[in-house]
Amino acid sequence: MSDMFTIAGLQSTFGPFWAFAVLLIFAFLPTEFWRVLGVMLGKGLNEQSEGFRLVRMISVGLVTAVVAKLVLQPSGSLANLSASARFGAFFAAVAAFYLFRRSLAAGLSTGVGLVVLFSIMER
Amino acid sequence: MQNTPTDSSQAVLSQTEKSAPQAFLAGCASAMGVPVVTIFISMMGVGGLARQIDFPFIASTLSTLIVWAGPAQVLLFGGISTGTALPWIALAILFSSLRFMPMTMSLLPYLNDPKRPTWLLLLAAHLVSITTWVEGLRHLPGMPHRERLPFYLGSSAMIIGVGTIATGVGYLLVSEVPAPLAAALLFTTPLYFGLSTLGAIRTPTDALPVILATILTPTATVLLGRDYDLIAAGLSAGVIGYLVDRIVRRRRQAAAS
Repeated sequence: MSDMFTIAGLQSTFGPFWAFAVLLIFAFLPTEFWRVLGVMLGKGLNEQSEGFRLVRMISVGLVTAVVAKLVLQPSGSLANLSASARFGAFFAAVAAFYLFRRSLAAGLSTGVGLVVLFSIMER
Repeated sequence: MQNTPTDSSQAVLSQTEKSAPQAFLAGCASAMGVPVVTIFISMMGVGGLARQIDFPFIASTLSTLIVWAGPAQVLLFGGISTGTALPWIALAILFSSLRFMPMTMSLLPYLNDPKRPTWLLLLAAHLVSITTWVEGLRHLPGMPHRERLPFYLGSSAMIIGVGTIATGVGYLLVSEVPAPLAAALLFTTPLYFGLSTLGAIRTPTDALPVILATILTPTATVLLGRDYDLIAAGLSAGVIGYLVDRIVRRRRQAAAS
């Protein structure tokens, strides 16, 4: 019995399928767990209930926290950009979104355009 | 003919209500545009990350279909690249994926029906991601109940399909992308999630969890560290938002009566 918790161990157990074993055990299971739990707990909810309002508020809170983390703690090439450039681009995009009557296209193109511009300027 | 109208009201109904395949196709069509473009750009970034750690091509591409959680895929490939032990990576993914439970629960009232088998709901739940959830909340409430599940499945199938292809494309193209463009690709994900969340705000109290989580996340990072900041800030923003909304509603009810 080889070690199931290392890539080398999984390679000797599952051969060419080791990468799928990594995906299923260490990424699929810990995400799918919450979705299955959501189905089990959400079956009795209806659109008007208090429970529905609560889970919706929590969802919006968690999604916003994901957004904040991706901007505050960036990975890869985005990490080379200064924090003020990232915040500036993000808030300019939000302003453009509202200025053009909640237009996703206006917000996205403003934000992405500014990140390209700032990345070139800061190089 | 199987569905010959028997009276005038039914005739009107059969004209305005879509059949399940029609609703599925309408869902596919609704995702074309901003959702599909942004998921393409985001998942290209994930594919590029997988290439950098030499994860096999087919498994990297299918990771989007299997895991379907961009931040979790980033944690997996990023964690492998820094040599983090796999069980610790799984634990970080477990903590960061809590959102799928309330997100699934808040879509279920639109999709559920006593006649629907559980496996179909589990399939719908597997397709939940920030992108498909935002699209669901935007389109489903104004739709006849029967059309909601096929519409959602169509829109989500289109989004996950394009996302899977984009992961493979990103894997193959990563070395060709210049740095400023790569930064812009990675910036698209939070920007799209953030703007769509703002787009779903209908009442002033809807804005509460957004504002609170924006303030609480950096605060929680300082107080609790990067492992627990997301859960602590997101949960407390949601609960405080709910309580304030409840008080406002009670006041309004009391004033009205």
